[in-house]
Amino acid sequence: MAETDDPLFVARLRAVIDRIIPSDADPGALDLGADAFVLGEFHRDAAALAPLIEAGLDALFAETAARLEVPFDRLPPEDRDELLAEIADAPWFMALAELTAEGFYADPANGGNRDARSWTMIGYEHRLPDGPSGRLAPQKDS
Amino acid sequence: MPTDPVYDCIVVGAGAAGIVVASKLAHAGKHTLLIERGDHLTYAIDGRRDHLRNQRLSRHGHNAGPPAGNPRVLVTPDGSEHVLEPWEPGYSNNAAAVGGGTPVYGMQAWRFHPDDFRMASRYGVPAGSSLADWPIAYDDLAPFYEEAEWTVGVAGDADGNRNQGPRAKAYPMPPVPRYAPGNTLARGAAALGIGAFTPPLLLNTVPHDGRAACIQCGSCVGFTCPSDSKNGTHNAVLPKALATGALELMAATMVAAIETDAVGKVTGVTIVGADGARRAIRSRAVVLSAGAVETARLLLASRSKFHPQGLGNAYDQVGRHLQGHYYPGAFGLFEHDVYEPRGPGVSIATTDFSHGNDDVIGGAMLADDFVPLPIIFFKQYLPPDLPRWGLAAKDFMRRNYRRVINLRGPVQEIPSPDGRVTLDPGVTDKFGLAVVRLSGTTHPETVRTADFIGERARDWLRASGAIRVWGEGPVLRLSGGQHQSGTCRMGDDPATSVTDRWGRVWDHDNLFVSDASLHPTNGGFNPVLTIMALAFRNGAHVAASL
Repeated sequence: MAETDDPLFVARLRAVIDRIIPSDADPGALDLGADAFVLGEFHRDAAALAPLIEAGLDALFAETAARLEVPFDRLPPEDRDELLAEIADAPWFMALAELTAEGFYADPANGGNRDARSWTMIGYEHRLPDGPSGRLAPQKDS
Repeated sequence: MPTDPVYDCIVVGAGAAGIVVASKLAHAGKHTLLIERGDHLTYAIDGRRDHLRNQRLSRHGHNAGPPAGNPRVLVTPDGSEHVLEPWEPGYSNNAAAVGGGTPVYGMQAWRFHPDDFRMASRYGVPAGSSLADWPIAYDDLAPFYEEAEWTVGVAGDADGNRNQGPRAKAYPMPPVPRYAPGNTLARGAAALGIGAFTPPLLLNTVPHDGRAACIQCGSCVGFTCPSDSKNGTHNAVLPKALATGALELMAATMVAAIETDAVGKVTGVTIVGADGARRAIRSRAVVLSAGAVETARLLLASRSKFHPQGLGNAYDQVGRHLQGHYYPGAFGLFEHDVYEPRGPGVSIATTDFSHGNDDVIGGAMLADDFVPLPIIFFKQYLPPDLPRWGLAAKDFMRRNYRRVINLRGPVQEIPSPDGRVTLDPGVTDKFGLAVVRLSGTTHPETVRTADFIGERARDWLRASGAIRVWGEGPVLRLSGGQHQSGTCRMGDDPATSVTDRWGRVWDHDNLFVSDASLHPTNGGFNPVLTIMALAFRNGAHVAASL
């Protein structure tokens, strides 16, 4: 699993996650930390997905290099979107898109939804007395 | 160990049924031991709101157990075998905690329809199905439904359900308020002539029984309650039972087997510790309330020379007829907000499609759903043709999170004897015990009824003003899950049932089952109030027999 901490891998991953939930008038995946969530899950409950996603990223960057002179992560957003649309049904991309959404839309203590900003965007109200992620530690007097 | 006490009764499983049975025994002065493999679960112990790890969305784990180390094997219709962790799809998990699923459940408190107890008589038995009548009728259970409603605490509209069986008493609390989603659906119901009303919930809508009223948070089902106003057996029944002094609770303890003596008589159970050490505990009677999957496993795993196929299994009935609920429905998109932040969210239902539908057997209650967690909305609510990435997905979430209603209901399943629980010949759990092997499917008639109910949900949403509706179509598969039932059906004929009409296992005068395993059919409703009512009835019967 050391590969998922490799700066090259992280840069590639972020270039794709950036387009999975893009920034516009509201924050995108990178703005809220969904990339850090995904990387964390590779060491936790999504470890089995890491090799699949790594191989997918490699293929995407190799394919881009074969067709274009600019590497995928330096392409403008609309060009990256076009390339991703071609592989949107690939299992690795679907898995990464779902993981990214999990971080972005889950409670903020999972690390990918800073300040619950995605909830503000869509209009979800948690209405909990102990904050959006509930109580983060058990009560001592329980 | 000769110094161990001999209990009047051991109850295995502290869930919706087991705590009720243990309570009836304790209040009758019977020295009772209640054994639960899970641990205590309250908001004080686990108040974390992990949207990715709970009993409603268990993608990366869950909060009410069981933990890793308790695999099951699922055989899918294509014949392939899958070893599953408890939070994975197909495992048929319910929960492993003191209170069972009740500390985190959705609280719908339905009485079954009178015809739910006589499905075979009303509809006939389709070829290949094991559809059967219950050995008891609605009227036999009605007093115990009432006991459950008043003891555990239900909020509801006693006159709203025009298809309900006779009831002698109203509910102890007023129903939950109705907001934008319910008001929208009420207009559609009126246009279609559907009888719609506020569904009953095991929830404190007002302070009740020493616990506070619901604070109407936006993440109810799947989590413990911050105000302890979700009424379950863990808070409404267990403390008073323990206060009698006659009941002992042993949590975080796995039962390995039911023990029998040299002549085949039940003498107690054997528990197994985390270190694998086994210890026998003796009792005059044993009640199994471990849920439809684990109760069947225990009977099958308790073999002796008198019972080579397991206890109560002389006719190969233990573990068969596994049912749950197909839960078909539809999503409707509206031009205006239909979101209400104040939970829990379930606010309108109809029972007009429970029975009497053309060309299908049985039916379902239909109701709107809980306030959806945003990630559940993303995973389950999006239209099938919408990309799951890019601006299109983000924009749909932003524009429409507050404009979608989810309407669905639990279909009364048509059981098949091939949908079953057996013991896996190879895989064992962390204690070295043989794990459950799940195989077969429900009967194809279930799929037809589910398809029909999905269409009724679409009709209702359209009549309510939805500009677009969508929903998944049902496919033939094994059922089970949190509404698991049917694996030790009660009856009047030992050749086609596992227990008599009181839950007493055939050929054993001191071994009982009390949980949804007993249900010959599982109703077209969320089953928990029926599980509780049967436990009040059967628990009193066991107490009187000791």
